Amino acid sequence: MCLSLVPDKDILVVAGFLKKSMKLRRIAFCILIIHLLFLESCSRYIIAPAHVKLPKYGSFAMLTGTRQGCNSAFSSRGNSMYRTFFKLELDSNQIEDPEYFDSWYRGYILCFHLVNRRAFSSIDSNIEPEHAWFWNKGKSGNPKIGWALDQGIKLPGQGGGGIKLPGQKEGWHWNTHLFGGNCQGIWQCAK
Amino acid sequence: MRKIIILLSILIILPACDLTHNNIFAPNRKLFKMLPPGPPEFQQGFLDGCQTGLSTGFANDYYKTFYKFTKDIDMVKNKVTKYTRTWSAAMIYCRHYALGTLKEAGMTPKLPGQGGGEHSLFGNVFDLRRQGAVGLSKW
Repeated sequence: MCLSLVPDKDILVVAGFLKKSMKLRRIAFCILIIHLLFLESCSRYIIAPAHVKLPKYGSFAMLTGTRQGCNSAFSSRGNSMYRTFFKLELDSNQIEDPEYFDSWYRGYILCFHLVNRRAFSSIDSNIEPEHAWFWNKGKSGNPKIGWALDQGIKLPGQGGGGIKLPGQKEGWHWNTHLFGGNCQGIWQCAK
Repeated sequence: MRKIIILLSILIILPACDLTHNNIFAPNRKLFKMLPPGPPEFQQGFLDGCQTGLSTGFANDYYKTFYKFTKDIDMVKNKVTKYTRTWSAAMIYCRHYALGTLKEAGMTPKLPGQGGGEHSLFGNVFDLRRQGAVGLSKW
C-alpha cells in the first residue's frame, strides 16, 4: 500500500483530482499504521505473551523476588517473543536476603514450567493426540502412564512394585521412553 | 585479490585465539552485556555462573568450545553470599537461555539412550520453522 505512493504517470493523467484524494487517503492510512506500530511497541504490558497472577500480599522482598524470578524465567526459557518482553532481573541489593532469594527461585521455577509448556507448543497442541497421555492420566485403560505426575511415587512395598532408586540394581534400566512400556516414572523402567 | 584473501584469513583465524565469551563467534555472548548492576562480587558471580551455565549439558559442543566451568574458590571458602547466590541464579538462567535458543532452532537435546551425537554446528540452527518459532500459533 505504502509503496504505491510513488507517482504513477499514467494514473495521474487519467485520474487527476481523484488521484490526489486517493493519495491523501493512502497517506492517512500509512500514518495510521505507523501510529499503531508505535502504540504496540509502547504497550508491552498489554500484549506481553504471558500474564501470571503472582501473590498480591506479602513482604516487599517476597513480592519483588517472585516477580523478578518469574520474569527471568520467561526471558531464559522462552522463545524470541518472550525475550522481547522479559529480561533477567536480579537485585544485587536484596540477593543476600533469604526471603528475596528464595522467592526469586520459587518464582523462577513456577514460570519456568509455565513458559516451557507455552513457548514451545502451540495452543492447539494441548488437545492433540500427542498430549492425550496427559489428559487421560489416571483414567482406566490408559497404558501410557504408570502414575500421574501429581500422584506421588509409590514406594516399594506399597503396591505396584514401586519405583527403584538408582543404585538398587534390581533389573531396572534407564527410561528412554517417557511414560511408555513398563515405566514407573520418568527415571527408570522394569525390563 | 590476494590481499583480500589474506585479510579474510586473518579475520577468520584471529578470533580462534580467544575461546572465551569475548570471542565474536561465542554463542549468546549478549548475555554478558545483560549484566545487572551491582558490586564487583555480584558481577563476578554473574559472569562465572553464566559461563558455567552455558557450558553444561543443556548446551551443545559449540557452546562448550567457548565456555567452561568457572567458580572462584576463594569466594566460596569465604562464604561470600552475594557471589555464591548470584553464581547459582546466573547458572540456571544462562543454561536455560542456551537450551531455549537451541530449542527455538529445533535443536532439542537428546535424552540418554537416544543414540547419535549432539547436533552439529550447522545442523538446523538457521531453521526457525520448527517449534518455538516466532508467531502467534507458537505462543
